[in-house]
Amino acid sequence: MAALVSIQKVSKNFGGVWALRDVSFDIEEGEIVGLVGPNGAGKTTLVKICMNYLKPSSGFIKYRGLKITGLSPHKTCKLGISMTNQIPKVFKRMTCFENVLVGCIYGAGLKRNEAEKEAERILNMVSLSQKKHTISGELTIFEQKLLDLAVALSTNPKFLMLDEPLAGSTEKEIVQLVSIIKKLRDQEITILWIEHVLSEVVTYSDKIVVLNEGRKILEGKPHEVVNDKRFIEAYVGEEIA
Amino acid sequence: MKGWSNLSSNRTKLLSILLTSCIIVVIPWVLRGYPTLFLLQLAMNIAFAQSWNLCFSYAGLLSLGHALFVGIGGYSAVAICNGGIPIHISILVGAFISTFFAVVISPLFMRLRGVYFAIGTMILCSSFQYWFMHWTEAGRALGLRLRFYPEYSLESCYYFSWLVAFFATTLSWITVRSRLGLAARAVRDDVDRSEGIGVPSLLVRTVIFAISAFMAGMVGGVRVAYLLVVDPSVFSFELSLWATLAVVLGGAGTLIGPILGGALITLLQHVLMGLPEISMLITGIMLILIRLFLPGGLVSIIKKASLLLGVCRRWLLS
Repeated sequence: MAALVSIQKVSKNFGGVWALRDVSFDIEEGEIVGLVGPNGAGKTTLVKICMNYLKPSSGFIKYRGLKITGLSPHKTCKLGISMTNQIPKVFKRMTCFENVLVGCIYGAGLKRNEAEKEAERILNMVSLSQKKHTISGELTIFEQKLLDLAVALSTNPKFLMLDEPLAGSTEKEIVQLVSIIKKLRDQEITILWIEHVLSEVVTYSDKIVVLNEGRKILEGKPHEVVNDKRFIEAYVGEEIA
Repeated sequence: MKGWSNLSSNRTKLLSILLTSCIIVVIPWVLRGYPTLFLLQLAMNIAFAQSWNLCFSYAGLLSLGHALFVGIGGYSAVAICNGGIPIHISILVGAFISTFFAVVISPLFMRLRGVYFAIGTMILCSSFQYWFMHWTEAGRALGLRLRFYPEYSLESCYYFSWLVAFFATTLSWITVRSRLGLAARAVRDDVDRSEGIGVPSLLVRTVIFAISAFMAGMVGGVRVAYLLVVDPSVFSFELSLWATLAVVLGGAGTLIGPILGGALITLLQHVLMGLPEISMLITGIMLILIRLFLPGGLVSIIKKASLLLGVCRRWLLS
């Protein structure tokens, strides 16, 4: 079976600096793939290239066998691709409900009344129902993070990229986020999970890809990767739970 | 009792709209001459403010050259009407030409974000002023004169301008509540994020800009219908600025704001007509005072008043 997402020899050059260099790997349908690596390894750049916010200097992305590089982000979204952001990006002057409603209507292509039901369901799933009518700019950072995830889900994605969802969260918040991610896996959403908190990614991923200085240095089963010497070298000083 | 504590209930709104409409219809019969002229200009200011408000408050497009569409609407209406077409049709066609122009410049202008969009629209509007100043067919500095048309009267212009004001307000109301309005607000808050969740942001902004240009084009047409002349001063920065002032003073992001603001600036324009040398100074001071003490604009007075009224009522009854 062909992979759902295939990243093929993607390179990105920012004014002379290589953020990514010949990165290739596949993501199978239904998998959770962990993408790890030190700061500045090019993880977020790769996600932005997948979403077509950025154009790669060379290489391309295939989704269900079709080359998607070069499409506009809103067309990419309609194919079933979505992402969350490391720093929550929500529509700050709109209510939580409206935030999610936009994606349900434009991303998932639902009619108004169906979209309203779907928005309720998604808000409920990330436990923000209580804040339905709150202007999203007034939420706490963690709530904004949940809302950012809800907005990403509103488009009914088949392939979801999570950009450091756990970074900066407390133990309790991590438990809540992980339980949501588990629910997404049960809904057969394919996930590319970028993370710094290794223990969670290692537990839930089917595969881990390690980036360092723009290059893929490792790819494999979680327990194999974390015991590999090259991985430990790239992460010197980091505690692995 | 319920009507008092909840002044914004639908019945109260409907009643106040009906009452206002009745007053508007009756006024030219009761107060002839100057008051009618005053209210005519008030209606046009409201329509123009609604046009600017739709762009700025709901799509985040800060246009400082909105007079451009008034000018294009005005010049087109004169040219068409002088060709022998009835005035009302000319105005409508002029507004469509304005809309078309907005659509044509959108692919380029929507690439400019925030303050650069403001600078771009401002420069475009001024270049039009210079162009029309030197365009022989458009009458250079003297502009174009509308041939006298049979239906001309202050009253007919008055009713037509109120029709346009009503139309602009209703169109804004419909747009804001539609899915287009929802998408526009998302684009306003974060262009990239809205793109990423399936909103075609360029299209959304273009459509909002075009609707706004249509309203402004209508204003341009009505302006010509009662002044009987249009000259390059229609493209002046002051005219664009009045729309901005009306919205900021009245309350941005609401539909009542531009109405209140439109009324206030019409009053200002008439009061300050005798003091041209300090008119802008006084307007500026007023803007600063309102921004400092009523950041929400005049609309917030209504909200506060209705709250206070509710409190008083409860206090009296208890």
